[in-house]
Amino acid sequence: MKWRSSVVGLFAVLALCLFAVPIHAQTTVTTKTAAPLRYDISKEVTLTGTVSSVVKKASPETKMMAGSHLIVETTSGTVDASLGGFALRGMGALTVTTGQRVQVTGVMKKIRDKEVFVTRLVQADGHVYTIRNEHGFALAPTARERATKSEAKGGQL
Amino acid sequence: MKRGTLWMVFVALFVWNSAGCGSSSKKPITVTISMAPTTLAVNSSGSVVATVTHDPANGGVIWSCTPAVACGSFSFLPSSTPSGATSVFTAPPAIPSGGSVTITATSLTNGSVVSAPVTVTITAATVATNNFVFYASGEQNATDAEATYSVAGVVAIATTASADGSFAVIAGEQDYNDGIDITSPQPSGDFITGGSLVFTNAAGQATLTLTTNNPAIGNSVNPGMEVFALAFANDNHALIVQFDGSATSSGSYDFQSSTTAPISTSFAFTTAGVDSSGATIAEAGVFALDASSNLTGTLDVNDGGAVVTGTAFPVAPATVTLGVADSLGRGSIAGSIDGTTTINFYVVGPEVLRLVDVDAASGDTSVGSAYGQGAAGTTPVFSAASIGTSVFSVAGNDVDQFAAAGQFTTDSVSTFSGVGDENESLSIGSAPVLAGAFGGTYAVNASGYGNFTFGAANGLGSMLVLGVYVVDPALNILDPNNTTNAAGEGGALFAEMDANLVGTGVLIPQTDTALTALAGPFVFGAQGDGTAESTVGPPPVTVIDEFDFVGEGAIAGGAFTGTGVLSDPFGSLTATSVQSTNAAFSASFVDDLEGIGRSTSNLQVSATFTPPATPDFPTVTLAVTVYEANAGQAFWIDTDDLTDVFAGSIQSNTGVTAAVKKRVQARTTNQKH
Repeated sequence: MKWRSSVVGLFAVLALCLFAVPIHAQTTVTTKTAAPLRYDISKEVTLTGTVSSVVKKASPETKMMAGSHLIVETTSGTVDASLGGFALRGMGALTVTTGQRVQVTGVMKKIRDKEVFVTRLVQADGHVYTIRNEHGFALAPTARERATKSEAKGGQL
Repeated sequence: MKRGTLWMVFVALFVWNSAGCGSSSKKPITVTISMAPTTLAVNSSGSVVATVTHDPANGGVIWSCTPAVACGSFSFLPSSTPSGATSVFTAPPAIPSGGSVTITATSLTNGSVVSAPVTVTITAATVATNNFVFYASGEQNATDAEATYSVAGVVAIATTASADGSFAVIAGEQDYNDGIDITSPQPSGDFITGGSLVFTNAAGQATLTLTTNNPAIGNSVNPGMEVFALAFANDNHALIVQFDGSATSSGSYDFQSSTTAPISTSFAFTTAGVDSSGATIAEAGVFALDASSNLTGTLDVNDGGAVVTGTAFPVAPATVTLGVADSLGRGSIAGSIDGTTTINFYVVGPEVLRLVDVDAASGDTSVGSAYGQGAAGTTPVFSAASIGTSVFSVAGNDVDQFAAAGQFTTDSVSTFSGVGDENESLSIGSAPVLAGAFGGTYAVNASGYGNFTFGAANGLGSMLVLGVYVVDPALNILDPNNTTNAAGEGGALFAEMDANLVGTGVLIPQTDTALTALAGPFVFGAQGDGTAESTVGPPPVTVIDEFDFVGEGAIAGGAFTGTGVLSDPFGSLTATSVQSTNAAFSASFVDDLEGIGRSTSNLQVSATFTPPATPDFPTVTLAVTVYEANAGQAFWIDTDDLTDVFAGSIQSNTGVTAAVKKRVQARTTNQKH
């Protein structure tokens, strides 16, 4: 009897805990995955290779992701590293040329039946360029332009 | 004798010195304002003169005006003057609290010497005006700074046309923010010191030129000047795009029916922009106002995919208070809704505020609106039943552009289902969704706050969760002053609240589904991004950029024709840097006959220019889908794959008044002579 009482009590406590959610939980967002996550950082990898091509603008006919790309030759094959629309523009833009060694960090995704490396970071010439944030959103040049201008102003002093 | 002589010399020196005949530095510097107006109308000017005495350096004075929030930072020209020289003082565009400002002159040689203050009474404009509130967001076209920017403001437009048929801009204020270089000075904002509204046709297309006191905005040819194209749906509402080449953007321009309280006691709101890191951001929620204008509410934030929902604000002991608006309806929210952002507001009317982020330090930018949830003094109670069969549109911005539109029904309890089109091909890369079935669960609490969660097996593109914020069932979201189209009233605001997309939008009840109902004169507009590049000028440095358009046209039996303004400074749509005022639009919409108000077409966009200044661009063909909400309102999106995407609206054009049409005729006649 005692152990039954204890178990029942335990269940009662658990039940209370389960139902003791905040009132606003009724409208709290629950993230069911109707569509796959845009960028699953748990699947992020870093690759090292040599740039075989810099695609400044993907042609729609190629069905590549819009924006610019680096085609990188790695030990495991050729990688299409998508850079989005801002990496190669504005102040502090990524500067990389064919033949250059780079390290790219991102997530490999299958988009339109093609393997695309959605790039978050590019390391080249000792600089790390942040292309996307940790959720895979492309970053406008806002921050680096502000930083570049701030540095320029500092340099004038 | 010698002693007597010395004594006399000492006495003479003492008298000479005491009389001021020696060093003037012993006499204190004085500053007197010898000329100043006692009364000025808003935005008018008057001469001021200060006289300085006993200043061996002849340093002159520097002028100042208080309170700063009213006077701004550009009140005097020049800002400092030699003794006896004239400066021109310009009165603020709004009547300040208390009805006057105080001006002083301070010695440049000794900053502690200040003139006696002179009070200048600020009176209303001497000509009759109507005020209009505007807002827009888009992309700047500056080398190395194609930043997203936000602008909101108010202009006082003369009600009587000038001899040339234009309507003078008498006064105004605005707040502009790009998060990098340009944030209007606070607390004053930019002063709009002049300009004009010129109707270019009788249907209601117009050009609004604003002269501001902020030389940082506008293009290099006309610093401080902004030019907007307007498409009036009626006397009180127009779609608006900036098209002076310095930037391109879309927004709304609405008659200001009130500058102060009474306002609703609760609001739903959304804002969208770019955060300090360059990622897109959307904030949304609901708030209530107490008798002291203190805000309390619930906030959702999606900052580049980092989602935090259901946050109660303010967090004690902080407070957030809606400040007192000035005579032009501009005010500031004291305290921060999200803990970091400073927001100014512009009152459109009793139930609508435009909101704009104005803090320079945070490096972000955003703009949006707050819509009342009910008449003043009422406490609305919402539920899932507040949302029924509706049409919606949601879109991102130029940093991460996508567009979605659709139609859905609800069971008024907890589930929704519908059909939608979604184009995220430029942001995520997926192929556009055409007439995709979707569904899921939804909830709305008593304060009108809730969400739509797409089901695991029936989503719409990458959309997972939309926050929903219900507005007054009697309020027309797209055209807040419109009380004649009952079918367009009510609905809610949407904000994407998941890690896949960031964007905002609206839903409005659907009362018509037949394409034949969507007939008559209309205004239309859209904001989008494209991947074409300009083939004119220096080598392109851009790959995905914004374009915008507005226009006026007609629909009959699905046949759509219109003319308007296309703002495509980057050539992202047309491959030619275009600022066209005679773009032609045509389409033949075909109803999908599913009874959901969905129709599709190719939209042809073309323009003819006078060579050789600007070459024509080839006709651009865009695949578009329209969702009809009622006979006077529809949403449309561009569903092209990997080339371009836009979202916009089509709204009934009930016409500008006959008086305006006469002004257009008068102007046309004057030009011919």
